[in-house]
Amino acid sequence: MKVLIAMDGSHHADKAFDWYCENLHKEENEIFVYSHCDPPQVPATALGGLPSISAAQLDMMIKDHKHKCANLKKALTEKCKVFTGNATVLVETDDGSSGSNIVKKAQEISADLIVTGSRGLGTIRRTILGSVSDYVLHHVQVPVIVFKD
Amino acid sequence: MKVLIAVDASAGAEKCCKWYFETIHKPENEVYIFSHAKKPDIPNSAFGGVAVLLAEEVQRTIIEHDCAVKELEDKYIELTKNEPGKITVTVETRGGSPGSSIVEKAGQLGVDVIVTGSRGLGTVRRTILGSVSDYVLHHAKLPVLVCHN
Repeated sequence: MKVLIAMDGSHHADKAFDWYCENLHKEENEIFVYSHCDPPQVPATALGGLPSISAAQLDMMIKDHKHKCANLKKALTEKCKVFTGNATVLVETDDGSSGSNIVKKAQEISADLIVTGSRGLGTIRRTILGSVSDYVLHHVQVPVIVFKD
Repeated sequence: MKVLIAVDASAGAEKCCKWYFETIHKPENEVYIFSHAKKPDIPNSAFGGVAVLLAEEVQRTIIEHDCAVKELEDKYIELTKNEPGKITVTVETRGGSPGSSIVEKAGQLGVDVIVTGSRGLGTVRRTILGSVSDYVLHHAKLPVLVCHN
């Protein structure tokens, strides 16, 4: 069975990953750990059509983003060492929301099961079901595990 | 791991249960297959403006209800008879909504995950996520596995 574990670098996602490993994982499962990294937020142009940031600043933002993605990939690859079978780590940046990218990726790899947390980064603390898990639940045709702690 | 699989008389619930046993189940798991049976509506007939409870009709309703309950229990006992591990099938007649029953039962049994279909009986065909799974997702404080039909 192909399992896609959606992670965002949050502590909650780590727990979801650990929970999957302890309780659901079977050796024959093929694991795809997927993280959609939001592209760097370039501020809109200021009044008069002049760019509000310099080329150097933009350069720095892109570098930071690449660095962030590389670190995340490293951390996730480390986590995947617990799997004896096939495990692939994908850290990608694309247009669109995290939710839609998870759905797209799941379709691309023909996932049989998606594991997602219920809250992640940037969600209001009191949210029981975050926007990403909500989106995924409403747009896929495969089983989805929504992890809660 | 203790698992509660929420079922009703729909084909979707059956598929979900089968999928669980084919792909997720481990012999050491304790599985509780639970169905909330709605309390039967006691018919009353108005005769000249006076509500009359016809004993026969009431009795028939109760017998029909009990038969349906037994049928559902037997169906799931039969479905899981060859599966390894401890499996318990319970169909309980309660008031209140199926969603809240499921969450309550899960709490009572101290399960680690709730498995539910996405749509069941009586839901609008185009609904991707029915009212019961939606309720469970928002109210359960533990991981929920939603099997899309």
